[in-house]
Amino acid sequence: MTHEQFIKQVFEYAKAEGFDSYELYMQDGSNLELSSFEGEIIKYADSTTRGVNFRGIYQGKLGSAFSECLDGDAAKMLVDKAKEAAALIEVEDRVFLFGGAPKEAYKVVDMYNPTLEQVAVSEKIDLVLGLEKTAMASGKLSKVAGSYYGDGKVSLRMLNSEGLDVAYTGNRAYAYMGAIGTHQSETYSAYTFGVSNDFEKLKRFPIADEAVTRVVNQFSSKTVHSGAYRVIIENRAAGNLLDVFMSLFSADAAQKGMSLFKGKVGEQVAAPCLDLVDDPHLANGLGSCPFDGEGVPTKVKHLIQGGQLKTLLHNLKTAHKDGVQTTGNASRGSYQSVIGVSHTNAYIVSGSHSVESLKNLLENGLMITGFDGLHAGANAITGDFSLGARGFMVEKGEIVHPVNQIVVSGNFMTLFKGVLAVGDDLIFETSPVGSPSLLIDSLSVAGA
Amino acid sequence: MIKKEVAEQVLVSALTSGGDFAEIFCEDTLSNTVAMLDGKVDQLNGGRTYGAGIRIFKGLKSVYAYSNDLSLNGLVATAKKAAAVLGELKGEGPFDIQLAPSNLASIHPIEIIPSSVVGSKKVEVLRRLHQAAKGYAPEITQVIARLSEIDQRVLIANSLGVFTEDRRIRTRILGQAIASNGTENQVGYEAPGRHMGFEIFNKVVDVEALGLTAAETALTMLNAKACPAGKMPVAIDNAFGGVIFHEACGHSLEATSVAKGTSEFTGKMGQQIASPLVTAIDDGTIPNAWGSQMIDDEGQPTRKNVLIENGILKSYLIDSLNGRRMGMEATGSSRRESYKYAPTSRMTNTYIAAGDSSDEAIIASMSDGLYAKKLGGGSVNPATGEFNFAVLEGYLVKNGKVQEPVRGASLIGKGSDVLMKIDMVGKNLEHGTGMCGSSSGSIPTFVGQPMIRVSDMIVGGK
Repeated sequence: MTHEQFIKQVFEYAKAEGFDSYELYMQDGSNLELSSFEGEIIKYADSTTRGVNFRGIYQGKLGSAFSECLDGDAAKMLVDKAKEAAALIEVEDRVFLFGGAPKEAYKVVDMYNPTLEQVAVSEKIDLVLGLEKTAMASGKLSKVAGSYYGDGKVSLRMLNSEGLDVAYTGNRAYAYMGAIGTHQSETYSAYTFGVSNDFEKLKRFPIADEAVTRVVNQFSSKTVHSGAYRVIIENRAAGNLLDVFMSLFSADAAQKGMSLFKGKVGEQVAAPCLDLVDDPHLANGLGSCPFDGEGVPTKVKHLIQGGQLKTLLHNLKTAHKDGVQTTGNASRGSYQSVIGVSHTNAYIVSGSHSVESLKNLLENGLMITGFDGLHAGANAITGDFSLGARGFMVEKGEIVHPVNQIVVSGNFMTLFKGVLAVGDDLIFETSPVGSPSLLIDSLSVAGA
Repeated sequence: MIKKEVAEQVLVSALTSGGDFAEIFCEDTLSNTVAMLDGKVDQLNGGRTYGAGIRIFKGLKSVYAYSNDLSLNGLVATAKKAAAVLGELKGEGPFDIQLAPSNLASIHPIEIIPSSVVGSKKVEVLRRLHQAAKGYAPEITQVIARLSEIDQRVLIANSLGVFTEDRRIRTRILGQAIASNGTENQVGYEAPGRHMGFEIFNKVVDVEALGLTAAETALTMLNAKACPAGKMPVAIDNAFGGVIFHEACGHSLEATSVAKGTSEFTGKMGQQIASPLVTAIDDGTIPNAWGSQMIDDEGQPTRKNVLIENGILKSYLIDSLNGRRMGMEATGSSRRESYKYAPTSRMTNTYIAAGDSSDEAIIASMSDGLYAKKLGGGSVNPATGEFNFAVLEGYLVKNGKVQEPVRGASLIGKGSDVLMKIDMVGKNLEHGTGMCGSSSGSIPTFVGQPMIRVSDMIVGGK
């Protein structure tokens, strides 16, 4: 059955079953993944998948279901399951299927690079083998735990009975490696990454050099005395920490009493030096998209400006509930997910301080370069975090020794207000949340 | 899902470029989630996951390809695409693969298939949970109740003649309560699951008690002060407390890192890696346990593997590919989230076996420390052994007595170090339900232990 036949079958059946409006979200993807170990390609994975999500409004309630099987049985299953779901829904929220916007309302977002598809597999193999070779050639590592390359393409189409019919295609490639070094019988490791949909650019990322530097910089790490420290959170670590707390900005979480930003729009929630932007149109951003999970055109906006909370993130349902316009942040992780609210590319805007200047401002304290266990030790509902961390001890503005086996604890609400200065080194690592390095007035550190 | 003859033809196609082993994993899974927020059903999600993954080995090289197309032509195309990576395709060749269908009789009886239960009965369970939690105290401002069910059918065939099927039905319920005083929020949650159907609510889970416990934790934590930071002895309670072994040691015993020599326990077989009080087991055969299944995702029967006996390392968790690198037999421990992942060595139901100290004796032995009653998730870096996990409900212990509750603590350490520092092991073994994420996806696992004492750990706090 072709996609068109499948769509026709689902929509006809949905109409016959009494749905007032209905929609299909169709995703097609292909992925390639390579990994090497000790000079050999040990794993090669190649895949194509598709999946669809059906949503429909039945007697004022919205039901949905997904399938990876696209045949006549699946068409029926989707509609039947969605109808069953709609019948069980008890919340009285108004639900909507978006009828689409004029074509010009959809920004053309740079997210697909056709040259990536012309790259020969042999070049990809060279890249992945080269990572290990370069890193080991430094003579400073004991082992490379693995080198990886992957690329993928995803095509998305959304269409519904209200007139929406939008689509996009995006692709991207990534490479990463895990490096291990041993010094005075202690083992240290680091993972480094690169992401781009321009293969030539990806090749130039200093993934291997950086892995070596990051391992070697940890040699002779020691813990510190427990106490309150002034800290710099380095850009990557700051982005990873911010990522965990981004649901604070979700109007859905706020309406459910699960965000401490509930009722705080217009208030000062962060230090005046802090600006935070959600930009869905960033060229090749990991969260870039011309339309959101409901087909609504996306837009750039400040979430925090001068420390003031400007808006929460909305989809159609949460916006209606709060009596505002949607911000185009309906999220849909994949065809398997239900609609939620999420940021696109969210980042703290770079300030004027170089990392050197931040260290001088820090004077004496800690520079945190990485957190562990973010999925467990940080809680967006309470704002609390207590995380294993590593970094450097800084005295008189200079690094004196690397630090590990410490736990850094605080509350995100206090941390945001305690930002003293913002670095000029905004970076996105492996997620669509980015940050420059931040100087923070005080955090509790547990060590020896 | 597919016929024996189809599997034979696909496996032959997969070996046309010189591979020495081929495997096909087919899956047809129904999943369903019903969620209640604030006493009203607000979300349902469900659907069908359907596809097949084909894996080929040539020595230590592996190729994996998957697709949603389970037709003969579709599978052969996927097999040939994978085979082409290993070399030139040489026609159909003189291969002879004779599959011998064999299925184990299940020791995990399922009484009530989730899809046979009407939605309103599921909603009623959630409502009972909600009411119990919400009614606990006025500070409980929000309750989330969620029921998740999965019915996974798999078929695994390989060029060694395996042709076998398994059906894994799992049910899990989550109760999460939020306590708030207007400016601060604290959370409590309980989320038990079993390799069972809807009978879990008759046999294992008392939803009212579950709701009350979640609410009690949230309220206790709302009234708790910040945990002090520093090094101290820690008593970790049973059930989900077992996450300490899961992170501090379990992952580092997986062949995924052991085979490459990147685990701190590589080459330590037969050596003392833990205190003599520690015996640790991974057992995929516990009837109806959350992490149990009849066969692993390579089609091998699951089994009970003693990992550490009286502190001595006895076994790793090994899948067939890493087993080749290590020159060791697979241990029935190969798992994957779905056909979208190549399987690898993973845990099933992992626990520290019961010892002989009473809980009272453990607490009484501590003059100044932390009693970690409930733990949350954690993570580990197998290369360095550095692990961390969150304490969801903790209490200070002074002069052998449990004192006031403390919040916001995390525990960190190095696996090899903490295992040696376990100096008391309790009698009361219990298991806790978790999802474990690693290179072959997110899979259900039990963690478990009786109460244990660690002589000192770094405790994060304020």
